[in-house]
Amino acid sequence: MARRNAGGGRVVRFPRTGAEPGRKARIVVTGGAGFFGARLVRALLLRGDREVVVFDLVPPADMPADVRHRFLDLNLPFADGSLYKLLLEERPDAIVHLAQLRSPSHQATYAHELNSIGALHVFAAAGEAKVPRVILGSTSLVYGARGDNANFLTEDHPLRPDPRDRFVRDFVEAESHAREHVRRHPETSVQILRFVPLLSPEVRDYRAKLFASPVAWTLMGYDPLVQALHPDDAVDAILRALDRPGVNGVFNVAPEGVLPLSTIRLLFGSIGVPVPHPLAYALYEAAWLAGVGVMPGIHAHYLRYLCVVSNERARNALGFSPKRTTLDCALETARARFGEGRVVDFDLLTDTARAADFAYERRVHPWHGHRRAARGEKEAAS
Amino acid sequence: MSARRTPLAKPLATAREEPPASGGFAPSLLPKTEDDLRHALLGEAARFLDSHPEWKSPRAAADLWNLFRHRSRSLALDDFGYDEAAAKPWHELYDFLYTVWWRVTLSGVENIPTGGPALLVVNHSGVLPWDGAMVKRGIMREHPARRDARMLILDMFTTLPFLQPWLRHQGEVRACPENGERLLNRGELVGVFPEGVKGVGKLFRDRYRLARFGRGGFVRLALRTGAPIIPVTVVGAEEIYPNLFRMDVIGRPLGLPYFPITPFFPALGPIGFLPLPTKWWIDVGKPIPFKHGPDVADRPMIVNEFADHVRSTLQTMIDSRLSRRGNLFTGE
Repeated sequence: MARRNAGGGRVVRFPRTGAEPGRKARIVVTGGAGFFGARLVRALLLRGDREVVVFDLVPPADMPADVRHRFLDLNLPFADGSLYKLLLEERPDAIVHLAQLRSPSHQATYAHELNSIGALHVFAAAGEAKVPRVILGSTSLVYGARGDNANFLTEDHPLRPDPRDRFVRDFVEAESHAREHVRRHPETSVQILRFVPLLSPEVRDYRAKLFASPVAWTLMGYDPLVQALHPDDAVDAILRALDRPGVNGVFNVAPEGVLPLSTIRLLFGSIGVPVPHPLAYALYEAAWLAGVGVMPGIHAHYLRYLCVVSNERARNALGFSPKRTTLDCALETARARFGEGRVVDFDLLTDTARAADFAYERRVHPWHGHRRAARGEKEAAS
Repeated sequence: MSARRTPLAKPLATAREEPPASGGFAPSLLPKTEDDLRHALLGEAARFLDSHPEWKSPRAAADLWNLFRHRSRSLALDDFGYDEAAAKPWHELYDFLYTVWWRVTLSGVENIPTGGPALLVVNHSGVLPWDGAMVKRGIMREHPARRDARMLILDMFTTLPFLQPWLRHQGEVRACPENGERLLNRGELVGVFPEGVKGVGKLFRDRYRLARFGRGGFVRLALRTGAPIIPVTVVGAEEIYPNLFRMDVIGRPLGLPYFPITPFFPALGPIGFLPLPTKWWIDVGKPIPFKHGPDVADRPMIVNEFADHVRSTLQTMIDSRLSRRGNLFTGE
C-alpha cells in the first residue's frame, strides 16, 4: 500500500498488514506477563481462534509453547523504534496495550515513562506499522473523585482528576495519546476500556492492600460508594471488544452494584480509624513518604468522594455483561484471604448477598418498574 | 508489694488441690500457666473465648466493632446506596415530627400515580431541609401504594461530612440531571426543589415568595423521561426557623452557602436548632399538562416558559392555602 507523503511528495511504502486468508487473527498483548495481561492471554488461548504474541520484559509464566514472547522494554528511550520493528515482523491484527502499573509507584518517573510515554510509543509504532486496531486499557479513576460527580459517570463526562495525582494523570495522558492517534489515523480502530479497579483474591494492587490492612485511616464523616471489578469480567470485556472491530470509542468496564467503603472494611475485618479529612490526607502522604503507605495522600480523594461509573455503553455496544457484582468480588476476596478466625459469618453473608442481588435487581431493573406501573394502573382501574 | 496479693479470679478448689510450692512458703496465688493468666485477667470473657475459639483471632475485634457500626445496616443497597434497613429507625423521628410537632395535613395525595415515574416539584423553605423529609414521609404514610419518593438534594448537603453517608442511606440522591434521569427511567417517584439554595436559605421577609426556578432543568428531565410533573406545596415550613439575616462572613469560611441568624440561633446555641412547632399543610396538585413533545428539550425559551408556568401554579397553590390559614401554630 503506498501513500503520498504530503510534505515532500515522497512515496512511502508501508508494510502490508491485516488478516491474510487462512491465517488466524494475531493479537499482540503488551504487558502479557503481568497479572492482568496473563489472564487475557490465557482466555484468548482457551478460545483458540487467535494467535497470541506477548510483548513484555519477561516471558509469561506457565504458558503453553504456542504463546510467543518478544522482549519489549517501553522504558527505553527509543522503545517506539524497537516496537515498530517487532510489529513489522509480527504484523498483528490488533494490539492490546496492558503494559501499565496499576498502583501508584514511588518511582514516579518510571511510572510516568511506562504509563504515559509507554502508550505514546505504542501508538506511534502502531501508526507507523499500520496496525489496524489498538485497545488501550485505562482506568475509571480518570474521571476523578469529586463532590459534584453524578452517581454514575458516563463516558461523556469530562476527566477531572486532581492534577497533583500523578498516578491518575498518567492514565489521562495515555488516553490523550490515543485520541491523538485517532486524529492522525482515522482509518484505524481504537477502543479505550476504562476498567474499574480490580478486586479478587489474587489481586494485589494498592486498593487490595488498602482494604486488607487491619487498621486504616478513614476520612471522618465520609464513606463513598465504590465499585470493584472481577478480573474475569475485565478480561471478558476485552474479548468482547476484540470481537467487535467496528465499535470504537471509550467504554467504562464496570460491575453492577456498589458498596460503601465501610462495608468493604466490614467484610475484610479491617478497622477504620476516623480522622478529620485534612489530617487523613497528611497521614496518607506521610506514610507514603515513609515508604509504608500504599498511595500518595492526594489519592485519598477516592476515599472521600464518589467515582462510580456507568457500564451502560459497554452493555449496549459491546454486549458486556459482568458476572459478578461489587459485593460478590468483595465477599469472595474477603472469604478467600481472611475467612479464618472471623466473627463475621460468611455463609450468612453469602446468603444475604444473594437476597441483596435479588432486591437490587427488583429495584434497579427498569422492566420491573414498568411491570409495577402496569399493576398499579390495573389496581387503580379496579 | 500489696498489689500482688489482690485476689485473682481463680476457683478456690483448684488452688487447694495444687501441691504447695517448694521452700515451705505459702502456695502462690500467681497464675502458673498462660491459660490461668488469661482467666485471671479477663474473668468471664476468657471463659467465653474458650467456648468460642474463633473469636480469638486478631480480626475478630475488628469484626465486633464493625458489626456494631453496621448494626442497623444491610447489604441490600440499591445503586444509589439507599439502605432501607438503615432508613427505618429514623421513621420514628419523622413520624413524631409529622404527627405531633408539625401536625402535617396532607391533601391531594391521590394525584400521585400508584406506579411509574413521576416528578414532584416542591417549594423549598426552612433553613434546614425538613420539608423534603416531611413530603417523603407523608407520601410513604398516606399514599395507597406507600410510594417511596426519592428526593434530589442540593450539593451543599450531599458533600458535607457525616451528612453525606447519612443522606445516602436515607435514599436521597445528589441533584443532577443524570441521577434524576436514571431514577425516573426505572419508574421511581422523584422529588425536586427547583428553587435550590435560594429557596431553602431565603429570609423571613421573603417567605412564601418563590425564588427563580433554576434553569428549567427539571422540565428537561420530565421531557426526556416522559414523567408527569406534579406540583407539591409546603405551607408552614417557612416559619420554623425565622431567618432574619444571613451572615455570609461567617458562613463562607466554613464552606456553608449561608449562615442564618434567627431569634434563637446562634444566640441560644443548640436550642436554636429546634424548629418552631408551626402547623403544616402539604398540598399535592394535579399533574401539570405540557402541550409540547420531548423535542423541545433543546429550546430553552419554551422550557423556561413552562418552568415559569409551573412556578406560578405553585405560587397560586401557596397563596390559596395561605389565605385559608389562620393561626400560625394552630391553623385555626
